[in-house]
Amino acid sequence: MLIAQVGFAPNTGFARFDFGWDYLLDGVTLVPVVLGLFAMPEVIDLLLRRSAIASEETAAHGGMGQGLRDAVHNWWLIARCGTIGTVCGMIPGLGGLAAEWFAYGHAVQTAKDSSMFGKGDVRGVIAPESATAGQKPGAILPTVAFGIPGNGSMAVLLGVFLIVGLRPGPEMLRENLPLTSMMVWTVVAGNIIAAILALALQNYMVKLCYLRATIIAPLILCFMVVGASLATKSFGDVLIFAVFGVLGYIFKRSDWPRVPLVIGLVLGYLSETFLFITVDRYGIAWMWERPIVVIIEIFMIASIAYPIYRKAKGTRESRRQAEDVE
Amino acid sequence: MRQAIKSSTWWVGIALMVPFIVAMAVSAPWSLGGKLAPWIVGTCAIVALLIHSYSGVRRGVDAKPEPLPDGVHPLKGRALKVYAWVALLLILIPLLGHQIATPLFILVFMLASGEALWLASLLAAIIAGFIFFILEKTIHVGLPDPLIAQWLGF
Repeated sequence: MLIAQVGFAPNTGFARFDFGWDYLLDGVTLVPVVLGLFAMPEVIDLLLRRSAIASEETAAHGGMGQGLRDAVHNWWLIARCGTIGTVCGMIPGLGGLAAEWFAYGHAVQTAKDSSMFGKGDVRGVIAPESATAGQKPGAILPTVAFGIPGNGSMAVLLGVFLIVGLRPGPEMLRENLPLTSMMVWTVVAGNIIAAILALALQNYMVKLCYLRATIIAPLILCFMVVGASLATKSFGDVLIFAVFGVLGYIFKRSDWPRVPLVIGLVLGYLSETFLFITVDRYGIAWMWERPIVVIIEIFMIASIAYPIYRKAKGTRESRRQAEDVE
Repeated sequence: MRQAIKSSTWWVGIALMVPFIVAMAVSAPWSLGGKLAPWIVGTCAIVALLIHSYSGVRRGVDAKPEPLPDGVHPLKGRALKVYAWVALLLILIPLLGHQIATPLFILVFMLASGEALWLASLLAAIIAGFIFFILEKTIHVGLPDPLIAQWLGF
């Protein structure tokens, strides 16, 4: 969240933590941060291992059928994360990336054994993918019903509505209902076509995983740097990518989680905006005078305290078992 | 205590306090709108990190970092070479631009890694073509100008 505070303050326009560098006035861009934090350490490890991403023996297990079985087996996770995605899509400004991380966090927190997340647990892929699929239809809803775009692409869609003379609002659900239904079916058809293409190409794409590290790693690294510098089309992105790459590698080597950093960066700007508005309107008393805030605070405290309690209980039990054995 | 001091996880927790302390110190003279969030975030983060560090000293650090491949030390030999290659790419790109630095890096890296000249040249040519024909000419992505061109006044 501290990283999200780099650049102009949302409510006052006050420039912060820019170190006299114009690039930082617009804040730290998400794409180079995510690429640096997650992709760079993997490429470094790949180069250190000097082996392919996967061996043919490992990848031969399962395939398309296993993927389908995983999806069916985790149907309840798909339903929950799809709902998270839809709700996030409906909230203007929150965006798809927040939905993906929320869903991932939810999957980790609700899993009985979360030790394999980030190390090959398929639920870590299923959860954010379900949220991504859910957030797009969710974003259409406020755009069509209220004229409030849920994200950037919906803002473009809203612009198209106005160009062709359509007015978003209740009439989109009455007079223009066929058009609204067509939009819903377009999303469905788009997802089906994407799934068919993915299934058709997967056998070819997966072969990339068998390439030697000395072939695949420099390619991935170069594509990552190109992708990172497309965020603002500035070499500042490359520097941010490098800084967060180093940080990501240190975090990985010392077993610090990297996902909370990204969630903090995504939500930092929004939380600061509304924190300032709230303090400006109610003073510090908003923390105990507003009933909904109090309920949310109780949930927050419970969500922090419960895992600590569960861990302490587990430690006590294992100690007792060890004493019994002795 | 000894276990905590030997753990890199514990030291990273200590080091993470530094940016928050610096941010709070830097933002102290600012207006409420400017310093409200840095102070709230900084206070929460420092308290959490202090609890983490204290619990590490009292009960030991519960972390299981992924092991490096056999025989690789994170600050010696092969690891240093890999860091140097990555650093070279990150320096070359702003200096020469994506169009030159990326294929050049692929060619040099693959040859240094013992790959065949034809394969290295082919991949370098493919990535150069991708950047020039796909990114620049087809989808009109404006890549930043290289610093060397700016210095030479192009």
